[in-house]
Amino acid sequence: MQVLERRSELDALGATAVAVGFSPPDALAALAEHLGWPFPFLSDPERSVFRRLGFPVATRARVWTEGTKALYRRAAAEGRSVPKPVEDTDQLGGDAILVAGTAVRVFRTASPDDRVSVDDLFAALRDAAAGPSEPGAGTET
Amino acid sequence: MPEPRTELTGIVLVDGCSGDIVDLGAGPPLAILTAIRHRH
Repeated sequence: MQVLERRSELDALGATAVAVGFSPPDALAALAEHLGWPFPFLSDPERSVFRRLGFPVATRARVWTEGTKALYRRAAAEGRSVPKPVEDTDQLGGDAILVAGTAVRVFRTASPDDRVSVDDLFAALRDAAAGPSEPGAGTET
Repeated sequence: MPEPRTELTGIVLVDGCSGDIVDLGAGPPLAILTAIRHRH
């Protein structure tokens, strides 16, 4: 949720943020409070957003990459406890840039440690705010 | 080549924070969407 650290940039672009998870609404509300997430946190138990944007369910081997293990090792070394997951650990997340109900950029992941950088995400947001570079660019046919 | 745009029409979800029903296909004008994997 590093997006929060760049809240002023979001505001300057007239943008907002939306988080989506597949937990029940009350669980996501608790998580939002824990994270200090001030934006909507949508509950998607059917994983409609995940499917529509192509965020896949990975194989166990793709989830537990060396990079993923390193994330847990680093948390342990920093004294941060990482409780056992309570949900499907094979579902991968992802990010997208939305313009009026349409995802104009989608950042999928191949494993849990394969998330787009916040810099790249905001670069895509700035591009979207500037509008399409040519008429019809990227339009689905 | 730019990737195809993906319409989010028809995806209506509950906002866990407010309890509001949110139609992703109807907005917002500009946003970052971040889909999380799972909770611990």
